[in-house]
Amino acid sequence: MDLFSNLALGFQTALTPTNLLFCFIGVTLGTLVGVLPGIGSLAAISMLLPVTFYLDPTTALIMLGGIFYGAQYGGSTASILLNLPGDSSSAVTCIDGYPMAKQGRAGVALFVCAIASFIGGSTAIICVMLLTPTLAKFALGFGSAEYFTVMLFGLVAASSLSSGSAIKGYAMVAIGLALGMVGTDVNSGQFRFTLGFFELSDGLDLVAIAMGLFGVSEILANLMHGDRAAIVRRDVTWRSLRPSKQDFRDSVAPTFRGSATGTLFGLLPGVGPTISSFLAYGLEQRVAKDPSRFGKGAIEGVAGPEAANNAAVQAAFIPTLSLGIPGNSVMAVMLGALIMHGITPGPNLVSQQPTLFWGLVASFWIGNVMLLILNIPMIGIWVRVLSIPYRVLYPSMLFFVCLGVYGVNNSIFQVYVLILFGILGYGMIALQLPIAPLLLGFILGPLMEEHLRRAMQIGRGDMSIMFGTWISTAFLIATILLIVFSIYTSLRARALRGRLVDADG
Amino acid sequence: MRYAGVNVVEAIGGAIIFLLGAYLVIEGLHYSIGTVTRMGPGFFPVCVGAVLIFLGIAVAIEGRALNTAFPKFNARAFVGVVGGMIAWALLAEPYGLLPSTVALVALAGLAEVPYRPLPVILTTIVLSVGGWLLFIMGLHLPLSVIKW
Repeated sequence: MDLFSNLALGFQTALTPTNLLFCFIGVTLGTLVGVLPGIGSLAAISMLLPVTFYLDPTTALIMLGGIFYGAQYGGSTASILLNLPGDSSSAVTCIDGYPMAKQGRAGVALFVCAIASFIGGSTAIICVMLLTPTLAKFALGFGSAEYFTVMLFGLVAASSLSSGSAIKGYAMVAIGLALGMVGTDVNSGQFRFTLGFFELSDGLDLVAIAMGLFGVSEILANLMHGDRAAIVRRDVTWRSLRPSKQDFRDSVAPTFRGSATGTLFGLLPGVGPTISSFLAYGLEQRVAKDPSRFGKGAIEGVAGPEAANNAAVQAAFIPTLSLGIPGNSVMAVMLGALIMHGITPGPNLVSQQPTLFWGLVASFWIGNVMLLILNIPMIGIWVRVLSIPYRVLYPSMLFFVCLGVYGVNNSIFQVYVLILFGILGYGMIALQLPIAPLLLGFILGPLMEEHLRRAMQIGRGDMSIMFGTWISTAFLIATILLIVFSIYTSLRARALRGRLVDADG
Repeated sequence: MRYAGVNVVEAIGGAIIFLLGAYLVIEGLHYSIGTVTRMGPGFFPVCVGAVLIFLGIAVAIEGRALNTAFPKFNARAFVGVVGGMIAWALLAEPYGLLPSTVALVALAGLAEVPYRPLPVILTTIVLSVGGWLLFIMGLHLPLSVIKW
């Protein structure tokens, strides 16, 4: 079968010493930032973007991917031991993981997390292998009109399905599109929005923007209103990890349900690991015989969500690699890394870059096995990492951010861009504006403008070309329905809140 | 935070989005708009700007009844972090990696109360040596360690 020869090619690529090394670096760093509350996987990935300039694109993607899924393994450690999620996707693990730790069952919780994560990840990787090439083949016939409508749908879905106000999400996407216009217009050579800075003629630098918006702003927000918590238990020994027969029996079904939930929802743009884990938790509560055990240390409440967030992370690669449509900001940064290496993401990726795609998929398997080893026998190390004080961490992060951005073009100008976007990102947090859609818009903006122009040229200025094929028609209708639906729900929520405010007097 | 029946936080957010949209439209009109068939460089900016103007108003209206408040602002932490990064940017090329790192870590340390000099000094030393090895020796960044 084709699949096996492709997988063989993938393992050949992923098993070279360099790729193995960077896969290991990726998953280790991922676990580290996952364990540490206050550094998300996105901040870590944007901080490592400059390093990827020195790497082969396949190696770069293997490392960045490793950080993303590695963080899902590490995130649960802080949730269980500190009652503080190491990564937002592990927030739900606190609910039952922390009570388990207080009952002295931290080891069992950590063990079940690692196993559930592995099964969730594996389920989704199988789907990546089977679905991505099929979807890509289907999308090969896409013209500019299809691309434009699919991207529009991706942007609208990602900003309206994520938490918070859909209108704010749309506004941030539009600001991202605007930021993507800065620089030289490809068709006419006209400078746009460069504000007289020659340095901006090539456009704003993705690394500086991503690090500013996600790295620096996160540090600022943590220092101003972060929670610091004390660790409950340090005594996680080998022996305490072993689950009882009962624990084992109780966590099998939730793990598989969580894997399915995560894979399914991870595919959709905007849903991602955090929402998937909450959905999986809700599902476990609903199917449980005795729902009152939840919140008091039910192992099902740990296994289900942990399987789901790992599955969602891996499944997110499917739309990204098959269509070139990133469903969340981490995927957008990964696409940005590809574009910086001169590779155009899209349906041609799988067929034109088989070593990149299959090598990446093979590295997922290798990385997940590495993570299992990192997280079960070596859990003691991560427990100790939790005691690193933030006062040492954040100056180091600032230092690496500054040097990293400087290193992209050896230009101090980019460091000022970084500072500006750091302040901007903090302002957005203060005004409760979502940051992730902005980055999606920034990365997809130039591609969308190009496809819009081309589609209009082909259609001789007739808007009806957007309804030229059933694919573009379907996506356009889906987009409109999504917008109408999100405005309807936000108006209804506002009416409810209005009544509440009135009731308060 | 509410003032005269309006949510200030949401109103400010909406106003910023609105103004940005207005700027996009005005600046975009200076570029050539072209026709729909052959779009000029100004076409897309004007469209996106118009959408932003509309969304800015929508954000302010949607959030009108909300009770969102600003998080507390810690000026000391803000000045420490931002000042430290600006100091790094100013010092790195003319004076080298070591002085700029000292300035960055010392200023950023202001965010923590009480100020502890020992961790600051230790962090500076570790970062300078690590940064020198990784970025200057390893990745060949054109920065000197120290320069007068």
